[in-house]
Amino acid sequence: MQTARSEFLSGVKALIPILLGVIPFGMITGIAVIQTNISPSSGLIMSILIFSGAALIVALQLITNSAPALVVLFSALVVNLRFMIYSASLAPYFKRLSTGWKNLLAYLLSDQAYAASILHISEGSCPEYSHWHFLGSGLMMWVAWQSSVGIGLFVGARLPSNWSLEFTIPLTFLALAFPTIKDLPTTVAAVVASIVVVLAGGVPLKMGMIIAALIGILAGVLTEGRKK
Amino acid sequence: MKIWLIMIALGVGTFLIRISFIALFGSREIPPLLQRALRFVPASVLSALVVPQILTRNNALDFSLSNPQLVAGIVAGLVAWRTKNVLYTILSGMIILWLLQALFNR
Repeated sequence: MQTARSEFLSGVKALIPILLGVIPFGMITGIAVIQTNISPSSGLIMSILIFSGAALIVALQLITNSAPALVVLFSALVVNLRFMIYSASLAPYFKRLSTGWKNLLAYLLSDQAYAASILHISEGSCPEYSHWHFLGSGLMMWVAWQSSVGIGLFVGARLPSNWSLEFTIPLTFLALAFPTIKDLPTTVAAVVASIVVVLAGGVPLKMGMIIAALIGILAGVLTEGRKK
Repeated sequence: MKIWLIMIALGVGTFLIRISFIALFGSREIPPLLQRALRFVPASVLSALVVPQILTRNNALDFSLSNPQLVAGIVAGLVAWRTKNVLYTILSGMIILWLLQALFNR
């Protein structure tokens, strides 16, 4: 068990430097949730259910804009499709684990835990216990995230409503969007999605966003295919 | 409560995405076309989310520079592009928005 313990602790340590980016983002997420007229305690329960800031804000915003339930679900889940890439990347290292372990580690899968753990896990220096490393990173992230969301929720509830704080929501997504634009195909995907979403502004049931995202993805794939 | 049903479904759905390939025992690779498409998900989805939110003012799209959200969004976009920092992006966008709103109200 000594190795399990040391792997767990090294996972926790690997995540700590990332916290500088996590805590402000978690607090902003909490403040953004409050802007959609959700109570702090409900917001915290939702955050624990979903454990994904972007999906939570997208869902709440579409709900306040009275989008149909299926559109809310689809849009918020599309935002989280990136987890599928991480899942595929981690799967070979988790395959001998019990179902309980798999469920736990899957729930704890986040951008940050993946980033903090994948190098260590794939190096295979300690394959017997490397899931403990991921558990350390994942739990550390979960605790830091939910605490900072909680702080944001309770602080946000006390901020004056005439500060236009709801504008922090698009600004947060803007900040997340730019680092994902890395090369020509991703630029094309982003530009095409932006143009289509404006053109599709009149499409009913708030479906414009989904259509624009899908056409953007298609444009990216086609651009990449052409380059080769 | 409808909102809670949506949240529970969203929680389950997100969990299923997370466990997808882990549950398949690592025996399957992502199909190549899906893998290529997934690479463009963040850029497309986030752009499609942001653009209408920044342009919409009083429930209509407003492309004019008298839309303070548009100006603040452009400045914040430049900051996001140069710094890739969430905090700086939000601070710059909010400060510009507040300045413009203060000027307009006068």
